Amino acid sequence: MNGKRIMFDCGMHMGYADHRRYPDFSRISKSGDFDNVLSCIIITHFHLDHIGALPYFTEVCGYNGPIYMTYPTKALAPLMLDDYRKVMVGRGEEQQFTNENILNCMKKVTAVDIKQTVQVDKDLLIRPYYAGHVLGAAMFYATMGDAAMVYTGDYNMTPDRHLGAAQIDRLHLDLLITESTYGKTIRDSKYAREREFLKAVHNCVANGGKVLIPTFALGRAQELCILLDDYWERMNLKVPIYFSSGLTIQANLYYKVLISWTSQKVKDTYATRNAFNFKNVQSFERSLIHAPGPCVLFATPGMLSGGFSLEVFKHWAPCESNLITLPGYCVAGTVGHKLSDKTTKVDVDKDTQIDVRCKIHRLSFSPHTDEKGIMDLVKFLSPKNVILVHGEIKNMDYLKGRIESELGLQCYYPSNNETVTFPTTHFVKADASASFIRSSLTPNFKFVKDVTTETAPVQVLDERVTQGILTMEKGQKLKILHEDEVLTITGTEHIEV
Amino acid sequence: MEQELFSNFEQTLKNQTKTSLKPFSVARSLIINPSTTDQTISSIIQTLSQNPQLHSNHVITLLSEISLVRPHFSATVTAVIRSISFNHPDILPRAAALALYTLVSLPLASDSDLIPAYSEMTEGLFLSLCFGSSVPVRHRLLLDAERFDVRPSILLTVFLGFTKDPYPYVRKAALDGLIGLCNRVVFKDGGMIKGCYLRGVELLSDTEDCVRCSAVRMVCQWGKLLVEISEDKSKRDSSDALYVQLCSMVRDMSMNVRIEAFNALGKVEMVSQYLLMQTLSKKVIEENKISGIFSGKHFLSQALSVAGAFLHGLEDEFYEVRSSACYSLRMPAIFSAELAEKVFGLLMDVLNDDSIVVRLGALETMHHIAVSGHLKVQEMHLHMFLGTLVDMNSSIRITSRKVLRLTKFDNMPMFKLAVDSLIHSLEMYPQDEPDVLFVIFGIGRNQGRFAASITEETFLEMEPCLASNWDFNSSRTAANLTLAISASLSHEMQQHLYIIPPTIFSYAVTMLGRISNGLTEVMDRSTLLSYLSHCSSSTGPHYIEAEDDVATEVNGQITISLVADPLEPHDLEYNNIKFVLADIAEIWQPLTKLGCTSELLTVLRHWKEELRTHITDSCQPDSILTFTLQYLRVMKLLSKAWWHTMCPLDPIYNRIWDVGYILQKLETKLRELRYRFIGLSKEEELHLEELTLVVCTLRLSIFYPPYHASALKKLFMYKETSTEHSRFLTELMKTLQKEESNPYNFREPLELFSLKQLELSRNLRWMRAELDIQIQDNDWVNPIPFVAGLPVGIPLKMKLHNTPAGTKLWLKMSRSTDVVHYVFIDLKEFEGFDEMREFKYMAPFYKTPKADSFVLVLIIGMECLAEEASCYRGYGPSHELVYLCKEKEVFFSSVKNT
Repeated sequence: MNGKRIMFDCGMHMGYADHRRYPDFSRISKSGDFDNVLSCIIITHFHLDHIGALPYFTEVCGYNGPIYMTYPTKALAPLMLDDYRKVMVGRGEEQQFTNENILNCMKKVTAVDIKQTVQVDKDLLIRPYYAGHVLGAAMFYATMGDAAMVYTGDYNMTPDRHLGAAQIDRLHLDLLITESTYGKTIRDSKYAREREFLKAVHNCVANGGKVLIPTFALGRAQELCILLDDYWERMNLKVPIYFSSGLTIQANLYYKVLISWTSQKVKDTYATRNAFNFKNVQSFERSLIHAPGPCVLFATPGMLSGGFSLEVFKHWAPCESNLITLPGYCVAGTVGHKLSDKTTKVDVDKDTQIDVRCKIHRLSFSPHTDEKGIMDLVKFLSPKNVILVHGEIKNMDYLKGRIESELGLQCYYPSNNETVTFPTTHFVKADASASFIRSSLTPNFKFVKDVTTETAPVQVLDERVTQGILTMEKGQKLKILHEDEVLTITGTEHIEV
Repeated sequence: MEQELFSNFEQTLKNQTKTSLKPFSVARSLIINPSTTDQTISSIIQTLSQNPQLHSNHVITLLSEISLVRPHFSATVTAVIRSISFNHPDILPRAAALALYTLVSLPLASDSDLIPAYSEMTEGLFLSLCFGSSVPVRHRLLLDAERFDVRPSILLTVFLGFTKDPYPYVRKAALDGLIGLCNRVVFKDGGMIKGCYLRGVELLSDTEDCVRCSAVRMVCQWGKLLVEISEDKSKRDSSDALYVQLCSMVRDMSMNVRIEAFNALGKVEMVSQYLLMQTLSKKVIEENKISGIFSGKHFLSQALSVAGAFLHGLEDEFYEVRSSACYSLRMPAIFSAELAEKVFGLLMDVLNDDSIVVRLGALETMHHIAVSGHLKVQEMHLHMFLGTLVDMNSSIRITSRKVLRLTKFDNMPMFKLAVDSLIHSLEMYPQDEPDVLFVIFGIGRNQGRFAASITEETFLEMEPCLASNWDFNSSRTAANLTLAISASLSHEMQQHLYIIPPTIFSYAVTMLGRISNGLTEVMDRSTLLSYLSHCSSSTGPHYIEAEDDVATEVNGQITISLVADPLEPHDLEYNNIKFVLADIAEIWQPLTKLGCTSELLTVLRHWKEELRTHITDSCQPDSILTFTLQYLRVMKLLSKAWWHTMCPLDPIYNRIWDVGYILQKLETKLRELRYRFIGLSKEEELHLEELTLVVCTLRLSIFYPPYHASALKKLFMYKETSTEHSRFLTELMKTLQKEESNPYNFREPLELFSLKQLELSRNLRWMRAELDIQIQDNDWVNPIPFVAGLPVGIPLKMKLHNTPAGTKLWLKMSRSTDVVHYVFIDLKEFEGFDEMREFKYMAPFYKTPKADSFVLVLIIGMECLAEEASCYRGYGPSHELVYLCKEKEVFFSSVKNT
């Protein structure tokens, strides 16, 4: 942007286990001198697909420039990264970075608050806006000189039980880069979704089944847990709810501390009770996998890509009375993705095949905005150009069609390694003549009564700005003169511009 | 001093070179000092008006202050200010604005010719200031534009122009001004209205939140105006267009804008159904589903901007927005049944909301739907809806019941579920009882068939053991009885009536008070009572032709006209009493055994109140009723005493004095029952005797030794009279014969005691007396004179009711607890018969004290001849007394004083 380079998010691909999971950093700089090439890195939130490669990039590749993220992201990211590192080690892979790397990386991070404007360097300004999605997620507004853009990261336009909806000012933008995970889905009321989920879980535990809820440690786990905890309270249910790992409980601790980043409701009730003090939740022990009786278990990771949730899945999936909920979006290659294709036999790894007989409930809770949300945001911001990222090609193509036809905006969805360029706003500095400034200070109405125009027969316009006339003389700076001045200079009676 | 200050002010004002506030503060101190002479003030005015340009701001402030403090200077001040503001165009805009404010706040000068010119001048000043370069002044003047008496046409132009001002607050003020103008002035020019409306629409996409907020309101107001003036054909279109514009704002990022948008949506009156349908669904409804009046692209763009507007509102993060959305949902909800159903479905989910305001809003909208007649509850919603009946918040419960009352149920299970939930809520929140009963009555009347079959079910269970399982204190029973009554008064076909057995109505009589409390809006207590007694008196299936007479609906308010009552009121009472007496016998045993004393007491208290409603004339009390009331009182005391004595958890000896007091009272009351009522049958007497023995035993079990002998005596007396013995008596006798001194031994017979049902004979008469002094207004001021040491005569008027000839009556006169004097009343001296005797009598009192004054307490007592003779020595009754009237105080004063 105007000669500056900003890296928005530094994530990794969850579906790969080899070098392909990290971005190809060599495209930024062949020589490896990242510090001079990049102005800064901005991380929108702590999900691995947005932050996963950051320690690798800073510690292994050696980037030392500024990194910005919100306070909660800075607090929660090390947890997330360390968990990922442990999973990798657990799978017997070579670890790409150590815990020390993570901690060192975090030392380079500058934390920012919502709507706090940060002057990165002389020209570059950034400002985060609340994005919903997960705790601490933000959309980033960046201006470089006169060019302005917003990178949304992942966001959510409808509030949920623990997070608010995305919130941004009406800005003049040249470019909006928005995610489009659900580019082609319109979700109806969240109430119906909640009701279905609760019904499925309630039916399962009422019949003595076990419910496995694989989730990301942060975000959905808390959302669903608030929902279940409320429901348990209201229905006076006694079935235990478990949280699988220490991570999630530690994460709850962070949520309790970071109340100001949550939804209005949680903030309102905070005076009486912290909504994250779940009454019915206990921690899970491995021995309980085979314990009889119904229970509800939250386990990580979300897409059954390994770790504890997969282990429990292996045990519980063959039993018909059990229930497994799947997140709305699973990366291709994970067990979760295979399950969503309604296959009954799933190859968990090279040697094991699981006969899945349990019920499967697809969660349509998603912290991502839907098609309507994207359209609403684009319409609200009305930027000059839109770039769609973070979505499937066919969805983005569909959305591009809508944006272009309905809103009349330029829209792109570049694939990897593709470069898109477009002109940005460039304000020209011009001197203003004294009389123009004087006339600009006082309103000057012009009445238009035009019967021929359809729009509005009577219009009252303020004419003062249009009286300015831009003149360019050779060898001199641009100058704005008042209409009358131009008249006297040129000596004519009337000028048409 | 005044002069000195003034000259100081003048001097400093003249001589100062740079701005200083000193002279002005001096002037101000002069102005606000009330003792400053008018002359000084006028010279101040003059000085101020001489060189205003210098410090125009302060000068005008001072002048306006003068006009406030000294109203009689206002004319002068007006003239000065006017000349300053019009003759010096170069004064500061703020000063000019202040001048303008002062001018308009001052009363107009009396010369009315000047008014038009004057207002023209203020208008000119207003305009010149608005168009001046000072933004704060412009903003402030626009905010207060109404005050300046500017012609509306000019004002409109000004406002419209300034909606394009670069400063957001000026834009906002201009928009607000347009809203105000729209309300005050009638506009007829279509072009102008459209111009304003379109400008508002343009500003809906302003960058500032506050401007958008005002723009939403402005668009709503002017849009409605536009709809009003448009031709009939295009009315619908322009209204739709307005709705679409407003809907497009519900996804704004600012909470305030969203609130305004929903408020505005609720105000639009006429919208096409397909648009409304679309607001309830985020997915765009396919075109071909709606009749093809609307052509492709236009329709699509409309549909897109309204899609799911209300859904977004209901799931908003802020409760203010959610409740506003709930409110504005009323409009589509009453539009058509189809929409109402969808809205209702949405609102059901809102009942799950965590904010009370939102839940209440949702319920109120439901009520709105119900009133408009579109309410149709589906089975899947019922569970959620009925949940609100037990909400923590009372206003939610009330509203929920309001909705429920208007709900129609399709089938029996749903109706039953509703009734059960109501009863459940009643058990959780007993304070809601009247309202809940009213709702039960209401839905029962609407769906008589269901009500009747529920009644049948519930009462069938009860019937075999003759309502013995019934807890006549429970709300559940009250609710069930109300339902039964409602079924009989159903709006539907009348043949359901016969299903309800008449006994139910007689049960209902026992809960008359509670039920009628709930039905106050429908009928009063006496109407209900006569209806109930009418229904309960008829046996077997009966066809009441009079049904229509019973309940005729007039303007939705049911007025019940009375069916001719076939029974004497006394019979009704008697029935009632019989029920009560039977029920006491029924419940006393189990409840006391279980230790549920408090419940028992509540029941008894309740019955007492119920019966007390029958007292029609407190001067002529009904004997049977009085007896029953007295009996209930005895039962209450007995229950208490029983609990204190028998309850194993209670450390008896801590409360021994309590028990002693209760037992004492109990004995007195029992004695009254035994002796004050004439015409008791043998059984009744034995019943009372047994109770007396129980009391004795209770006493023995606590205070063993001193009462042993008297209890034994009583027991033997009883033995002589009765033929058959209860287990209690046999056991008691055994215990007494053992002659053991352990009080706990008396527990055993008490355990065996069972309360028998008391069958009252109908020819019971209650003995009572009325005692009055012949002297009027005897009190401290007007005492009877006496001479200390000499007897004094008290002129008395006595009336005796139901006193048979053999009765031994005493007049007890007590000056204090130890100075008591008895006078025998010879019945032969009374005129009249047993039923009523009257007698005037001069009662002598001998023991007049050596005091200035004293009070004598008089009471008539009857000797209980059947009781054992007391060891009272001296002149007086030889047996215990039962008192027949209230105590009467007589005041005496020494002759010396009078």
